[in-house]
Amino acid sequence: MHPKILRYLERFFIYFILLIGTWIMIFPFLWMVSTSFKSQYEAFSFPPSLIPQKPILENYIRALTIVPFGRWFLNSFIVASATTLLVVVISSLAGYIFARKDFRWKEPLFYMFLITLMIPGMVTIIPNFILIRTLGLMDTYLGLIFPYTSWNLAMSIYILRNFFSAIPRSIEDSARIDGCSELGIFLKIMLPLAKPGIATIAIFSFLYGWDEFTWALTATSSLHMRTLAVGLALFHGKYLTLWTLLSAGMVIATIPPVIVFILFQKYFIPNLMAGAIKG
Amino acid sequence: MVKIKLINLTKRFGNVIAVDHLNLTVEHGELLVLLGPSGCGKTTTLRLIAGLENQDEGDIYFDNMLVNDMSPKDRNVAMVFQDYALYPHMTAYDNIAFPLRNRGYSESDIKKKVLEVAEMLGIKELLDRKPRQLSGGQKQRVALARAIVREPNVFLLDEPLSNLDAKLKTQMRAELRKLQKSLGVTTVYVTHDQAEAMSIGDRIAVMKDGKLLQVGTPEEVYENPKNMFVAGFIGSPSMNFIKCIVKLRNGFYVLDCGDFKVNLSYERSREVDILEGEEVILGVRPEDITILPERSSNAISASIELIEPLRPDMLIHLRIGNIKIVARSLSNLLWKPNDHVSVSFNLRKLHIFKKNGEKIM
Amino acid sequence: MAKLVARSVSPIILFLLPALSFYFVFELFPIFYSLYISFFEWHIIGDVRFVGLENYFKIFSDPVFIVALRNTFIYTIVTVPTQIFFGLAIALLLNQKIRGKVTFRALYYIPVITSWTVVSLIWKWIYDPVYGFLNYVLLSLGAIREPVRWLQDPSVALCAVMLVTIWKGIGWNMVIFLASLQTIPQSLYDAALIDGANRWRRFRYITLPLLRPVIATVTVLLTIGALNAFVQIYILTAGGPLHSTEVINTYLYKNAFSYLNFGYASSMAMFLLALTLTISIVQRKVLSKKIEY
Repeated sequence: MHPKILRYLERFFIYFILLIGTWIMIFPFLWMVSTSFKSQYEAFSFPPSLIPQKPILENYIRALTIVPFGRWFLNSFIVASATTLLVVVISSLAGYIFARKDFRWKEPLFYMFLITLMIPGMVTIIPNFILIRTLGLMDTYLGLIFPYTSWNLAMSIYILRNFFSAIPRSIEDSARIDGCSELGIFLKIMLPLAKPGIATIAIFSFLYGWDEFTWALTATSSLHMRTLAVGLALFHGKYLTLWTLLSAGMVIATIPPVIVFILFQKYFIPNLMAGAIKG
Repeated sequence: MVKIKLINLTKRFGNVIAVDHLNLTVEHGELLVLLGPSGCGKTTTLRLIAGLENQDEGDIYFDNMLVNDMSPKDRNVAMVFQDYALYPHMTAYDNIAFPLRNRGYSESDIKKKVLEVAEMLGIKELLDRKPRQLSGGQKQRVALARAIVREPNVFLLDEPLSNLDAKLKTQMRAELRKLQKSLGVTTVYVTHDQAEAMSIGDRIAVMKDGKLLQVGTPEEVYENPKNMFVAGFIGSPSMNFIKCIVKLRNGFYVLDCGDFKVNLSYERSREVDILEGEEVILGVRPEDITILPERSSNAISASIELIEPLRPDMLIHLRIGNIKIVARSLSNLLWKPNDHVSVSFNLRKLHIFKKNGEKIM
Repeated sequence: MAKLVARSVSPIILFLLPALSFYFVFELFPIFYSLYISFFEWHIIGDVRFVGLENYFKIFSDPVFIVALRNTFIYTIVTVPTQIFFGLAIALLLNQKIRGKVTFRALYYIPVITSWTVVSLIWKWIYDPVYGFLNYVLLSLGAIREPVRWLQDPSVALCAVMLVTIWKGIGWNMVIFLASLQTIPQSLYDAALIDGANRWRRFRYITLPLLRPVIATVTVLLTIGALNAFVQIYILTAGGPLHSTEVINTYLYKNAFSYLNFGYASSMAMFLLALTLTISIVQRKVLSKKIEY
């Protein structure tokens, strides 16, 4: 029976390690949630405990009032949604062209888009700052939305081009024979069939707009125009020890991305493959 | 070269019994074919012998050694997989050398052995290539070489020819048999192709739903199938099955098949032990049906529905009343569809089965 | 009127125009503009003076920049292989016959989908010298005798920051490796088992070689990411203490938006660009040499 025992031991060992790893991965989040329900007194008491002994809701309430937290939430939402919309529309149009039409500059243009995936974001921060200031878009929604859109185009076009390419030409041809216009083909056939791709880039654009920090820090200056990412960091910078309040804010800030992830989990992995494997 | 004994071998996957109390012996140096439809348990049995799976009940012996708890490596078996399982990133040489390297042979020994085996299989010039640069037949030879080079106790082959085209299949069949005979290694060969089994095996073990239905030489399973499934599975085109009721007339048995009757000859009538009125199934192979152009007293009248001119034979689909049968005959340009002919059965080659499939005679 | 225009202009141009315009204005143009700025001395308010390559020479005689460069390299060389190692290890474990794969995968992936801001702030709290959870655990276990000032002690700050990056990245690696592992046919492992290969040999001669393309791609992507790290460092330590966690990006940002030295900062940006492109190209060449099929 020896081999059988060995096998059970092995299984046990694997589960054990995996569970330890899982715990390490999610513990910080549990800690954040836990802190958000603690009073300042309890958060700073010794020994610290994971489950708050006297949980309070006050942090959540105060988070929404002490700083323009609600406003930040709204800003992030507007910026992320608008970015997503623009990215989806623009990259669908472009991706379709790259997938289906041939023209002289196709290859070079496409590679030009791809190259930018390797270019560090910091390289363009200064010029973009000057640009936005010149255009008078500092501290505005557009000042965030436009650059965000631009920076997401390369990856989105790449992904959508792959999805469009995978649609068999015979479907398009039969639509043409059935009398459909070119625009009609694009709207009624190509787009619906590329839905998974569109969903993927929509998700990534939204999360990008929601989480982005560096540019939001640079392009906004007044408190009420900040996005969540920047606002939270600034809040911490100002109230260094108000971890409880901050945690509540972070929990609220994390809820939309988590919802997106849970609902659209299946879109995350394929996109990684598309993006990563063909690096 | 060992004798393999499977005793009461049973393997379950969840609620499904893949191998059901299998008892089977493979003799020294024999090529035994495990034949059956997909899902009958033949591949699982092979994997149990290899040690890739562990059985739930039963024992496996190599000669007198109980190998139940031994790892595949220690059982010293070699396996050729259906998809060849060649390591795609290694050259053919490295693929063949792999098992030897795992056992710690010296590089010079390895080189000698690999070249020897490559010579035997005619793949010496291919040794530098990677699997993707090889054709199906070549890949198969490399897989074989990898199996042979270790001089194992047992060869296990899992549908090795199923991925080859028809012509190559026939050629490889003969080659495999020759190879096995010259090496003399006990071999278990899995396939669902009955023609393959018949041509290559010393003995055939027919399996269905995890159970062993019959084991015997090709002649034995062909001439004397023990039940309807074996009878129908072996032989192409398959045996004709006709439902009949047993009647007694003047001490002779008569099979009343509805649209015609068959009188069993006196000797047969004595061997048989059935009750009057019992429903049985008459089995007759296409080549045991003779077609005569005119009516004769013993013959049964039939009409030709369809002729498949296979050449040199013909398959003739006949209709007797509501019963359809297929007969095999040498080419004869005189017959056409809708002709009326007479058929007679070779009474010595009749198989009678009970309703549950068991053979009566 | 719009219809007339639309019909005369090729649909190709029409469809590409939005993408190209955005791209040109906010991506392409800035790159060249950045190069242009780097040749000037420009403090956001005040004179602009052409200085040619002077900024570039200044970079290399700037002691802080040298430290930042060194830190960037250390950061890259430590975090990239470590993430790959742990990601691969977990993927291998998860690839066995165990239940709950999907759940495990999702849980390991949660740090990946969380924003850098939130992750950095959480860890900052955990790293707190007096009230943070990490010190509490380590002290209780007796692993340390005194609280470690993770983000305030120059000798450990960089390690603390790297740990956060590694922690956040493992899930991403793991998911990619797991998907790749699942494309390796089981029959190869069966054949190897029969060929007498033990677990280590099966890993070394089958798994690893077949994973090489993926590992190569992942390495390139992670390296680019490491060279561009900013948010977590900015929030955790802002480059301190005493520049022990200063990387090129943080120093660049400081020069641009704290010291308002655009020209100088741009030259750093250009340097970073050259560095990133060079390393990516070299890596690709080296790693793809070995991959053949």
